[in-house]
Amino acid sequence: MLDGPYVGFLDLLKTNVTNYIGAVLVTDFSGVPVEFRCTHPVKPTEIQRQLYGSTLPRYVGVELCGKPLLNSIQKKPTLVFVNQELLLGVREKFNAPVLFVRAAGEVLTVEDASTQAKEMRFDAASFASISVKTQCPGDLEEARQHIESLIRNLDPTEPFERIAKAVEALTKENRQFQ
Amino acid sequence: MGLLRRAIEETRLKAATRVSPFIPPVNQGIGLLKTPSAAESATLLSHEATVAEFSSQQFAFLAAKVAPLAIPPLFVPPVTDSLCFSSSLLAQPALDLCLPEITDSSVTLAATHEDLTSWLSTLTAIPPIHSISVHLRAGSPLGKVYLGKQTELPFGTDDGKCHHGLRKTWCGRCRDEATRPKTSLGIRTLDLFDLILPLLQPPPGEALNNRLWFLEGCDLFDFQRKGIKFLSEHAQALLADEMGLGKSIQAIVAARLFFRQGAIRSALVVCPKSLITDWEVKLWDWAPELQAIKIDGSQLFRRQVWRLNFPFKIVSYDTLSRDIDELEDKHFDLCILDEAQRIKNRETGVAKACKQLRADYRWALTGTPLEGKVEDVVSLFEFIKPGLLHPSDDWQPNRVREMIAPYVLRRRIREHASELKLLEKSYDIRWLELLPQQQAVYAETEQNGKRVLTERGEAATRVDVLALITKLKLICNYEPESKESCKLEFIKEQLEELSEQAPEEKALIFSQYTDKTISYLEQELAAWGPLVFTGSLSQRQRDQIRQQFQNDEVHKLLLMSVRAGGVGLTLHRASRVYHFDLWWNPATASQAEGRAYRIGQERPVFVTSFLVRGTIEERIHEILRQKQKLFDSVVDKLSDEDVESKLSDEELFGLFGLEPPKRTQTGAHLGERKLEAMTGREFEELVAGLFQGMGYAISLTRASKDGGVDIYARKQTDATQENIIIQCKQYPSRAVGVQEARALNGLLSEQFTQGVLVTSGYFSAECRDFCTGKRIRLINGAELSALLEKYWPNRAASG
Repeated sequence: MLDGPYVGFLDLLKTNVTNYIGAVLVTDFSGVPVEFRCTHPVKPTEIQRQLYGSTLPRYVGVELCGKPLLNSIQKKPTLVFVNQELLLGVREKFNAPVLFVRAAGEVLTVEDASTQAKEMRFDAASFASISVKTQCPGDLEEARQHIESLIRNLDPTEPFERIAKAVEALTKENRQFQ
Repeated sequence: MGLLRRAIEETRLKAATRVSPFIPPVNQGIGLLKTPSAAESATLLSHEATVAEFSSQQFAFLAAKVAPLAIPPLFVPPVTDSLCFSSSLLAQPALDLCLPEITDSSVTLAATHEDLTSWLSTLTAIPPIHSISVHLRAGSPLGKVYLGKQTELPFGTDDGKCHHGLRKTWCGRCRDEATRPKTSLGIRTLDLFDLILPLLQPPPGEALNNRLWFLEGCDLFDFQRKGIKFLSEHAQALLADEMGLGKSIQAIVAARLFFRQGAIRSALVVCPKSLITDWEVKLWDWAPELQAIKIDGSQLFRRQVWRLNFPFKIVSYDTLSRDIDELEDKHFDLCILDEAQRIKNRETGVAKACKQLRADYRWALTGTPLEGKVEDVVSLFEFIKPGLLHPSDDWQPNRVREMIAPYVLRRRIREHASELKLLEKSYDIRWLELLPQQQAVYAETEQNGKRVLTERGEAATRVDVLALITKLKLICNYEPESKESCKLEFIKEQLEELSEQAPEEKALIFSQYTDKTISYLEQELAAWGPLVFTGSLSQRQRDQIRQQFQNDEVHKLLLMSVRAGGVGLTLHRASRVYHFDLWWNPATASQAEGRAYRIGQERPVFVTSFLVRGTIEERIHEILRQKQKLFDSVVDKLSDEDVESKLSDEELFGLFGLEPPKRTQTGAHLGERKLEAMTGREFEELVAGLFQGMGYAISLTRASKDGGVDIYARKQTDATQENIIIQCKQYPSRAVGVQEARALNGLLSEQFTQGVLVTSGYFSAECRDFCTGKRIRLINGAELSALLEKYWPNRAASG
């Protein structure tokens, strides 16, 4: 029972106007949680925000939260989904496909699946179709079978809602996450 | 001359006002007469630091004495041909474009005003440089692996049903017991990440079809899923499904969803006293991970229990009414009222108590909410949604229906008949609790019975145990003195509900005790005009009763002996079957249910069995459950008596916590000697040993002049008694003829239920023909060997 493979869901959440918390949920292919990790909040000052400008979310999401989180998880996933394109940068230091997922309805143009495609559409029977996108062309091909197996049981956009709820609860219940 | 005069005048004025050091000489070119008197001189600073001295007398207004002055000549300034400024350009007051004079004021000031100079120096200092770090501190990751090390379960590969009725590997309680750390307290601490685990669980799905949310083996009908969804979307709801559609199960599953989502942390179930145990069992079955505690017992005990932090608390209406003052500052996240028609009269203490409960979610379950008066519904909604319907208003039924419609879900069985028929029959076990007087008599009887068995020691037999079981089962049905019966109380409620909901439906009630239960039920349920069907009826009477029940609309209830009514009858007008008590063999109950569930049945059949918690019924049920596999493979091929005999002495005496008496079995000394080598007496002893192994009490007659009977065997089941006579023929090499059979048949008086003719050889054809249709059982050598193997397999060892 629950020997893998696993799938990771990496998210960066703004917990208030300034603070960021990174979180990763690892589940089995049925969506049952196997591991959850999140960071303490990153709190950029006003000056830091001005100095980092538009690069701040990416820097926080990839360098300060994403990479340390993926390093820290014990149940290594065979693929990782992110729900923000800027988080695709974690792929540099992670040895598994990292895919940006969203409901296909949100996508304006989706290319047909091909060996070198960076974006691909998957039609699921039990929920709306999804589109996945990656920075590394080989990732999609590598992850394709896993995704097809996964979406029989699980909508890959759904676990991000759980992460958001969990992080919200943490920030409410515990000062170290405020 | 004008210029000269003005210069002199200015010089004089400056001198008179102690010439300001900031004002330079008016004109470098203007010279003044200088007197050498140094003592009374003043100092005039010029940018060339030329010091001019003046006599104090000179500052007096003297008669104008004009000194000759050298007047510089005026000349035209040179004009360069360049537009650039050149260094040769002389400063002329008349020219605008000239390099400004640069004065070194700091030097000048320093020479005269030190304080001012230092002040100025602070103004002109280099500002300090603040170091602003752009380095952002990364948050350290925290978290938890929820997939712990898989603990080896003690069940191994045996994944049969546990005593909670679930698969062992799935039952939360069994797993918990098996994997609980062996610490002194056995307490597991929860951290922050344990607390958010419910939020990380996958959602149940829009149609509640995520299999991860529902227990394996606990299948729900689609209409039940809709009911669960309705409850989970309504903080205030009235689930008014018809009886038999599983209202309580829907409420439990919906509450479990809330618990798993972290939406609620405490729930209170209020139900009739007779249903408390039933709720407890259903919670076990449908939400095994949620612990439930019933609020019962003394006031002091109840006060303590109210304070305990259990996910589910179960309380009866009456107890709640008594304890409501204790709950003034108690808040529940969810409150479920089962059989909520109990609060339809708003003036009763029970209704008032329920309405004082403080809860966020309020669900009421009842099968008959709207058939009564409008006031009943208003009272119900005073609990469900206070303020929606005001009791003083003059409500029109249609208006009330309109108002409450968003909060009510009601389904009828006929709407889901096709769905329900997916199952052959709908089974339900109702766990009940003895009423006080029943409990007292039961405890006393059991105690006395155990004492007698203990005192008898080795003389105690299986018959004694079975007799005690019968006594106790009868008390579970009803207590003869006070006539108290938890089963009757419940069945009355069921019948009342059935009369209101589905007056066209009919019911069968089975019991194995014709005299001591069916007669009692006939009296107590007289209001329903029951028909009675027992083995004492003639065939004509039986046909008459069957026709009455099947064809007329007057008789809605038929009380039947499970033995008499269990076979061959067609009673498909009944769609409700109640087992007031259970036979040893589940197959017998199944045969009885078959009277209703057969061709011609147009409704779903609901079968309900009553079991009383904490009594012999529960213990027998437990043993039967453990032997389920055995029964599945064997029971259907055996008679009921065989089922009973399959219980070992250890199991039978163990029902009362007693050790079985140790005694040597008759004939055991014969070991494995071959049948043909035995003497006649040895053969009789062997057969006697066999029947003892089959659960009979045996009595060997004398070796000679036995009157044609070698062995008397008696067996008491919990409803009947068997008396058989056995004739043994040690004829290993020849056939037993018809004469021996005729002799035995002549001895079969009414007091004997059967005659058995046993031989180590075989029977003639004439003998077999003679015995056909008679109460004589023939056991030849081959069959005898097989029976010995089955019922006395360790004969050699015991010998």
